[in-house]
Amino acid sequence: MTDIQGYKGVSYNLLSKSKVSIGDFIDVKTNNESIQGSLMPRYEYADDQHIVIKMSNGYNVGLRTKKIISIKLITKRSAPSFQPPKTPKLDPKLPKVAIIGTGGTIASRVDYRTGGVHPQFSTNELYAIVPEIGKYAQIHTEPLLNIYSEHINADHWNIIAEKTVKEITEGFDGIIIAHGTDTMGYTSAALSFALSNSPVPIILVGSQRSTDRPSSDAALNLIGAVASVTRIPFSGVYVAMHGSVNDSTVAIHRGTRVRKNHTSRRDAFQSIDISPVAFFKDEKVEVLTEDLPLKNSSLQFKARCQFEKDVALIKFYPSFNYKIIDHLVDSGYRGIVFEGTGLGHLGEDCYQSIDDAVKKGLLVGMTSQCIWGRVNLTVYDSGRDLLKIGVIPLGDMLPETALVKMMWALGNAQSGKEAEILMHENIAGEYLERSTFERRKKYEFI
Amino acid sequence: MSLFEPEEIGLKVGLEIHQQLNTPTKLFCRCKKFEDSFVNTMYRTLRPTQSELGKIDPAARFEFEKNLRIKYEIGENSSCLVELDDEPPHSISMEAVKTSLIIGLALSSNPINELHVMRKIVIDGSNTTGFQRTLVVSTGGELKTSNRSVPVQAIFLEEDAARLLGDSKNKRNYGLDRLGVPLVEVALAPVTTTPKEVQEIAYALGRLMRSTRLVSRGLGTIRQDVNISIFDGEVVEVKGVQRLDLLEKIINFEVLRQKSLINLKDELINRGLIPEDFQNKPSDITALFQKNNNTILKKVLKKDMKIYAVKLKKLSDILSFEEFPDVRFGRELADVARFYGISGLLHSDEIPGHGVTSIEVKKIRQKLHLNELDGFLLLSGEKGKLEKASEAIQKRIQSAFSGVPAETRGPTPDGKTRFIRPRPGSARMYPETDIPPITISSKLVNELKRNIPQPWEEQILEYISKFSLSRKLAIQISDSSFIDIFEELANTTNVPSSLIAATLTETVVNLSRAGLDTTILTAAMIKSLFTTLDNGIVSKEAIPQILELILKREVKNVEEAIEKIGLTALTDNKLYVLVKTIIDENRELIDEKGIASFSNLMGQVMSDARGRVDGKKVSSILKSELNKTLSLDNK
Repeated sequence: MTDIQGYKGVSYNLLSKSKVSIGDFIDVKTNNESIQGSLMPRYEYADDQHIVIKMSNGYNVGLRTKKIISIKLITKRSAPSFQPPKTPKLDPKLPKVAIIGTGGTIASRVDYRTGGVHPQFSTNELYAIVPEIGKYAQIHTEPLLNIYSEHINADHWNIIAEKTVKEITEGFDGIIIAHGTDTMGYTSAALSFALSNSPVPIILVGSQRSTDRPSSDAALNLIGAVASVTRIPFSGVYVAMHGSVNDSTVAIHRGTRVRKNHTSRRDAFQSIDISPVAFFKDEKVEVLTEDLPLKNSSLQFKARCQFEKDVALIKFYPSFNYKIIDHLVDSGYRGIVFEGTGLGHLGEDCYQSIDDAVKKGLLVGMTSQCIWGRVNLTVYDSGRDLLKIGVIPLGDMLPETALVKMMWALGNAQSGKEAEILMHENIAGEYLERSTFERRKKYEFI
Repeated sequence: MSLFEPEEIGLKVGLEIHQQLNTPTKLFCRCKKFEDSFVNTMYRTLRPTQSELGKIDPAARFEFEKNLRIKYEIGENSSCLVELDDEPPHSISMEAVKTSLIIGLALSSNPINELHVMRKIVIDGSNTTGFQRTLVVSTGGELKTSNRSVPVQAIFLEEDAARLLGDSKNKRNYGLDRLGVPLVEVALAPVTTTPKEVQEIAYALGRLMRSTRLVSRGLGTIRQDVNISIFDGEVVEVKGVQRLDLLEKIINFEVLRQKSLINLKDELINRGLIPEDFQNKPSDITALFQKNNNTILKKVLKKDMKIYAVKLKKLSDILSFEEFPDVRFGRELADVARFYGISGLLHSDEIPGHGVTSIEVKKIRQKLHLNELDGFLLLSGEKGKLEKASEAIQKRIQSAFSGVPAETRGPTPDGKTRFIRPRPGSARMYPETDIPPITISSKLVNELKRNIPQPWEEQILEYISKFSLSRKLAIQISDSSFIDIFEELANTTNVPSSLIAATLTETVVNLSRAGLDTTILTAAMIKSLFTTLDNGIVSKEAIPQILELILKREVKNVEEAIEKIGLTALTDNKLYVLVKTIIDENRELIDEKGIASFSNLMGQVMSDARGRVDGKKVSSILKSELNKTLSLDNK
């Protein structure tokens, strides 16, 4: 049987007729030359008019089937496969840290199915590729999920949260969660609420450039995360990512105040309205704040890991159609978080629909699409109207954090009333009491 | 006279020519400027990764061990987030693909049907990504020179690397402006040839590429790598030769170096040595030199630095043995040591000396239990580096048992070569997952075939007829980097084309031979020079003087040069006045010698008028004025 992954139609027939498999060293004769090389897999989305061979200089080339006169096997060889490295020895004196793998760019390699990158490294491989983390901790790796973060949903938050609880009860001094960056801010908020009184710090880490390139930001981010999880004095949930475009500083952001603000830059993650909690540079961790719960301070750790999926995050825009709200109410949604304009406003033709929603028991919260700053529903009439209807002003909470919080509040509270009380409570630093001038500036660490 | 017969020693030389393309944008982003001033900086580190086959490239591992911190200088107009590796590459520049295919077609090379962009792992920092994006566009073909044909292996299209601005022990500094500029690489098959002929082959290929008019010109826009091997030796790649006139020297040096390494192999075997003899642990002899502060070993010795000694069994007299000028095995080992950041290195053949006394040598020999046939190495530096370096040096000695190791070397300004790194293998190739394959249709290939430029010889004939140049001048100007500006000036000014061509070739070459840096000449300077000439502000005699002032950096531009020499042109009126004054002052001479006084008078006028007016004009005015004077006298 021939193994010719990815080929189909014309090229599949040609290869199977020639009895060659992926990896074989072959000679391909075309109408004007003959080329030798190893047969490479074909990407699933590519056409069936070419075969791909790797020439002995390492280059891949695609040869059109129409021009091929013959394919001859020279030597049988094995298909390309990645050699996983060995796990190094652990230093028993160092703190114990668990790394939970969920997938994402920090663990991606070439995928012959699509030709793009796909989460593939085991967390163990990641550890072996960045041996520096062994300086700070005894690492235990735990592959949990293997998915891109855009495929993560609230069920996964629950799985990740419960796994984290298990590792904490097993006595780890800190937990690292390797996560795709696209929705890392949502997961960090989810864990912030679910594990709000965790005795040890939990740090999510990702990368904007995959680990199969020498310039990947994964190594430094992971080193920074491991160093920080063992050295910051606080408990709580954080995100560790590059503090600037330089490979020098890793910023540690609070899990409820962090946002991915760029599609591709390695310093895409920023703390909003606040400075990062700490940063890692030159093998040192510098803490920038004092007012966070200390490690091991909570007497009892009780996780609340449930999430209600029927909550929507809606961005208001000119010509927004109130029927969207009606539709959510009719579909049985239990809560809506709005990204209103400016201080937290919506067009007046939405008022009736919102009133209906509140009367039917939906939680309706208000955040601002300005991202920076807090909502205030008492300055203008429109705000006061919304307050009167029963819209909950959510202060300077980030819209995404507010969504996750409402899912969590509805998932764990016994009643709508209790959920509303939770929405007002400051659980994990999602509300800041003061908007200081300094906090508004961008933090860039060289 | 040649130093060797290429056939006898099995000399094979393969040329790889890298030529920047003159496309409207970079290869994988739409930045339009290829040279810039820098306004921002960024710091990065790179680490080796495994290839898709799971191997780590030895060259990449080697670089990582140097623990480099790389600083990048960023220009506003010449680079974007793609160069910073903070945004995925955009689609490939189809202009660049087409240009490289045209060059391939001109060499009868076969276009690849489906192009696959690869990542070639290079972690010396010259690419922010840690790899160079590169693809094969066609394979096979041949280059025809005036007297032979050289097979083409393949044509590649690739991104140019960042511009190296500075390099010290642990820091390296690059400019991002050049990163991502499209380069076409033509790899010629290794052929048996003479060093002199290699230069001709390189010229022929350069001419062919320039004839497409789609490539950049000027220093640094073309670079050649040359692969050199002889019988019983591996291929040595000499990377980044910028001057063609150095090729011959480099090949000659490399052949002698390789011959001497093959002879060394026999000598090692004759001495009864085996590779396993060179796995010795170095001894820490720092204490031995506690009181000696004269030795160069201590020149860089700071706190926590050590001096190590390594035994080299039966290698006495080998390290400084010089079979050919400047070819010593000790130099090879020093190159390896330097690569690991070790600058203090002495070997037993050169001491006592260099501040090491004979008593110290004796003590070292005792400590290492050496007999008189044994040699040793002394290394100074940081402990960690010393261990790595002494291991690497012994590995280098082990590879001497197989003769010439495959390595990448760099040219020195005087035409020798130095070790840069081990030769990278195919393990450094990885598919560029950010860019899907690109199909090249037969229709496109047929269209491009119509754009194959006319052969170089025909272009020269056209130059000769269109611009009335001599054949020699036509070839010189077409080979020069000033061809575009020449054509512009020849078409837009009334200055004779041959004068423009001669100035841009012969005059500039003369100034360069006089030791002046002619690369600072810009197109704008040349344009303003010929426009002033065209407008009669200066005369052609002033050109060399103006150029010299600019190249000596005494002035910034042509206007300043003219001012400095006081070279404003003489108007006809002023010239008449000058001529008449000289005639009046020399009445006695004219009376005495008559028309024979002309050359004397001419000399006097020219001493005032040189560079300010055409000599022919002076001559004709002087002649007519002189005649007038003489005929008046006769009356």
